[in-house]
Amino acid sequence: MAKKQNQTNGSGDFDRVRGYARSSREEITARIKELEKEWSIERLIESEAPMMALGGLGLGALVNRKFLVLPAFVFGMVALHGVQGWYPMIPLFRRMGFRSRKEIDREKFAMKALRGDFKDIHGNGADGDQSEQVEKVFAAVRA
Amino acid sequence: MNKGLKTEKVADRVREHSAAADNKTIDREAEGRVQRFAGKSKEEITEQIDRLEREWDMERLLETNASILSLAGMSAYAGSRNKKWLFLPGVVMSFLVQHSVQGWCPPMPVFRKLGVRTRQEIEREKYALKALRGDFDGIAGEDFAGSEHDAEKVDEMIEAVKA
Repeated sequence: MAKKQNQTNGSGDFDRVRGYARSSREEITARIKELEKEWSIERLIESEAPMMALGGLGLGALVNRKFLVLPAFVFGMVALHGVQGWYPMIPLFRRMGFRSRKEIDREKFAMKALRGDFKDIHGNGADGDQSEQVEKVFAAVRA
Repeated sequence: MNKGLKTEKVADRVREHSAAADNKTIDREAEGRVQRFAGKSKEEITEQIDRLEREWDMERLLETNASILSLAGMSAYAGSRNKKWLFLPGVVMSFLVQHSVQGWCPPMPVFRKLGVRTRQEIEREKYALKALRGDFDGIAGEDFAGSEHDAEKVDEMIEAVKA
């Protein structure tokens, strides 16, 4: 549930896609590469949380062990994010423009469709060789 | 040539740092699943897509694994007051940063062997199933790139991706 709440409806993402509607294949491909390299919220948490925790561990070990409350709290929050999808820094990260990998890939596949990757593809029920159809689908999603 | 889902084109740090054999096994299994759903009903495909949405990906598993190990180290310290226990969360957290920056950390090869996938791999399988479900049928003939077309067509295409 928490994960759902944290997801945007993606309207901004798709406005960006619309902006590429008349771009060339090369421009669309360049944008797809950019999306693949975009830092996801998950990756950001994997950097941010350990840094905070390591700082707290250092202070706790060398200065005053009360500082160990900080890493303990961080570990609890990261576990919660893994299990449930909620993390206290997410609202801030979202405001900074970070998105989940799922959201990034949704924009990416919209760009792929815009590029024409899914033309000539027909779903189940269409006539023709089924294994050939599946091979076309693989080619469309892997590029 | 049958290339299936194998790809080097997609930037995916975890795949780049995985053994080629593990990547191959993971791709082959996904291809087999997609092939089994060719010819299945829309309902069955939708159920499979929902399962993929819920699949635990590599990042989620590493985060959970690292935080639980760290919490265990902290508890051991709290119980024993032996500072050596603090090395456990210290080392585990350093690996997590390494994974975030570089895309590799020591537990990753083990998880890859167990078949844990990246979110991008899961999404590829999902969009392959969406194509089989016929989500892209209406927009299929259109080559949008560089063409003059109406905005409605693009909206239809975006709905297909969202569905």
